[in-house]
Amino acid sequence: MKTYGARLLLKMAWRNLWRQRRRTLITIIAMVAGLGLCIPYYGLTEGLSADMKRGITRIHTGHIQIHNPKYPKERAMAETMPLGIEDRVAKIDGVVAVAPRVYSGGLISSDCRIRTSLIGLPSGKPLPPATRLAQGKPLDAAHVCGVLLPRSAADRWNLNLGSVLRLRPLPPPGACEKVEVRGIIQGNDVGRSPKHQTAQMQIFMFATQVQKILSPAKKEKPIDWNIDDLPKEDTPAATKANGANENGTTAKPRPKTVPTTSPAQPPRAGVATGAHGKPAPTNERRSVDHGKLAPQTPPRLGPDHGFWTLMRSESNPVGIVAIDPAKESKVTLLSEHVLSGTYLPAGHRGKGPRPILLGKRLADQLMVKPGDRIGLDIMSADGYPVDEIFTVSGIFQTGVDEMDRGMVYVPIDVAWDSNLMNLKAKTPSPIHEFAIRIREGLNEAQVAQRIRKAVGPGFLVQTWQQLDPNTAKLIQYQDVAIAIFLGIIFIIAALGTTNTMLMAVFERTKEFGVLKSVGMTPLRMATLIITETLLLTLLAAVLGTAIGLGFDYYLMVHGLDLTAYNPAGFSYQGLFIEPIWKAIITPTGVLVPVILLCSVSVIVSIWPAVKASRIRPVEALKQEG
Amino acid sequence: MIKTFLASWIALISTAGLAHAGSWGKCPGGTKAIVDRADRIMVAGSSAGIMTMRVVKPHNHATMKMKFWSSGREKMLVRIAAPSRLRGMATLKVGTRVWYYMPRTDRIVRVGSSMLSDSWMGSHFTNDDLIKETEMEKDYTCQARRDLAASYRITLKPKPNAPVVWGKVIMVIKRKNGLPEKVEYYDEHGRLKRIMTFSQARVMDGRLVPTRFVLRPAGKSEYTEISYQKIRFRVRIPARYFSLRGLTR
Repeated sequence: MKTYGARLLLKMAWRNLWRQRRRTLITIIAMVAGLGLCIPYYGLTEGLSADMKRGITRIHTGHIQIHNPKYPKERAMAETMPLGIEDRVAKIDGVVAVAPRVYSGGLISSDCRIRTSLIGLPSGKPLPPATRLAQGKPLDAAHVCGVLLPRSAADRWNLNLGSVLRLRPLPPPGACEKVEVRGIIQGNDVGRSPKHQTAQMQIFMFATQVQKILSPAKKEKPIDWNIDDLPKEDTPAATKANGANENGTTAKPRPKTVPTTSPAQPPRAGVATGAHGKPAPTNERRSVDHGKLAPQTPPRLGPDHGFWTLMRSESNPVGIVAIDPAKESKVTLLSEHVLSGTYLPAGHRGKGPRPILLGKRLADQLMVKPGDRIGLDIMSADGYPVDEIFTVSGIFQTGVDEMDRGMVYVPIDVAWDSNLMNLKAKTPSPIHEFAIRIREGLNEAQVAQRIRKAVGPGFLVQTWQQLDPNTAKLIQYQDVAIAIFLGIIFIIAALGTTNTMLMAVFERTKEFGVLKSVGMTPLRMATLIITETLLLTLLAAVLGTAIGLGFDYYLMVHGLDLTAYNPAGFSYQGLFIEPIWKAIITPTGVLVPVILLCSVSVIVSIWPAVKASRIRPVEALKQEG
Repeated sequence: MIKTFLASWIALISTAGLAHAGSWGKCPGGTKAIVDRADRIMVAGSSAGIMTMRVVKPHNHATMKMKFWSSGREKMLVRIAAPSRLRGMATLKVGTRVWYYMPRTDRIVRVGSSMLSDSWMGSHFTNDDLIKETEMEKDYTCQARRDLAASYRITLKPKPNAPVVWGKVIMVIKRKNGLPEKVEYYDEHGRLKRIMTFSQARVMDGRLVPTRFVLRPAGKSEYTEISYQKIRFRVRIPARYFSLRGLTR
């Protein structure tokens, strides 16, 4: 009886649904659209969350970290822990890899040698002929070491107004030892003059200054660093004991004498003479014998032309991370982020500078490429700055701004070298941090608990959620966002369903009256309506899931291409978001919307169902239709 | 409209001028002279000397012996004499530019704008402290002066647009000899950031000066101490000291 009743009910419900074909179809389409949207949306949001989690765990932090409990607060270099516990941690079930790290800070700097042609301008002419000033000011007598730079050179060497270039080697005393870019000029043949093509750059400065720079080096008295030998300000200048050719900073400059050692030549016509009437010596010798980039034979130039090597120095504060390259690459994706050059070699045994890995933005700023040498001032554990030369081994790009601009990786032996970081502790090989990668899909907190048990007290074991609560919260907020979105979609779907079923009930009042008068109980009546809704919903669920999964699959494979908006991806709070937004398909991502849709539909069909069950046959039969 | 604007401007300018002549900000006359004298105590034309810098941090104590040469506030050369592993390391400041010299690798490093807030030689002084040519009398205006039994406590606020990082500075100056005793630096929210104390006043080259400076970041148990072994004032320093040549030799 019961089964028969149920089957009859199903049959009736199915037939009733298709009596109003168009309305039913519209309702189904609305539900399918809702579901078809919700599933890919869920997938995309989960994809973003996974992206963020991956950004945290695979770029630098790792899933779990171990520290000396005193280390995280002040990050004092002395708060170390022994490297030895690594073996114990690596054996724990779920731990994939362990990477030890030592941190310090420092200053990175690069020197870029630019072989430059110095071109003198007579004192009355602040601009070279046939040029115009693109930026800055023309030469003026108040800034004798000011120079003008062609636009092309400024762009090539990334120089701006106010940039300072050093001369190397230092020119004779009294000449400019560094020049400042005061103006950037543009003109048809500036920077293209064949005379200067052997140089990498040309600059324009006062002819008198060029002559001073190119004048032969004089024998200098070494500086006497004894403080007691300095004369008092009020003693007359003639009796001062220190040096013969320099001026006291507070005394008036004495006129310079013509150095007797330089071969004096009569000033040529058309060439400006020096401010002190010093003739300009032609000096081809000096212009070839320094710098590796010296050309074979420079063209014969006027006395106010010459070549010199200018140094473009750039420096930046950096965070220094000493790593074990092989272990690090198992925990993070650092080795895969190397754009050019190579990842740090496994062991540095040979002679020559140690390798260093630096970020793309830092490398651009310093204008270095793999193979170049850079200087690094490292803050040692004893509090002294120590300097060392490194060779750029590779340049990485993680997409996280802070890392690409301000972090460098060096081999871990830098930390223990007594000439460098000199990190010492009672235990051998002290380190600051272990970054741990665990098997995908495991719960970080559980693995962390196992690690805590294994290493014993005295170590701080934290999951990435504890280390970076902001991101963990951000990912939680994504779930809230999903809930809100699902809520809105299903409220709309529910209203649609209610409307459909209510209409269906009102239309069939007479029919229900007949059914009731032949003995249908109110409960069965209600069950009929609910069954109708359920059938409708199930139909929509099947179709919607199919369509939604289709979209989801497309988004999983191809992703949403956002490269038009942010070609390189963007970093947010130390997280890198890929420019192609890919969805991931999870069981919850499909089941939650489907179950939600079904349950919401059943709930909202209760009202029409109750309405139908309360129909009184006598009144219903009186109605038209 | 324009007239009233102009009139108010003129009134403002003239009162400002008047205030400048007599008192300084909200403080009685004479305050400016007191502050200026204390502020200039170490700046005397050109000076040269020997000092020891001790950086005390919870886990390490670094001591460096240095020689310095300075000319006014614009030029300074500091060379490390000890310990031997740092010997020859030098800092040159000319105007607003600072260079370091690293003898071990024979490099000159120019301090860029991104490094201003970084520590100088591992101490609690920053590169910015080195570069700034702040003159209390020019860049600050007096907010309050309290005359205590043995000292003046003078609260200074930076003038609008003054190139200073502090929101407030309190100087405590001894009445007896006009020497600074303590300077407290506050940020723009009025929080105490660091304290500089001056002590061990001694006569050096004919001048009474404090010879021990301690800079202590607020709320930390660490500090940097500079003590002068010798200072010679008003000496003639050759120009080449304050050049890259002087830096690297």
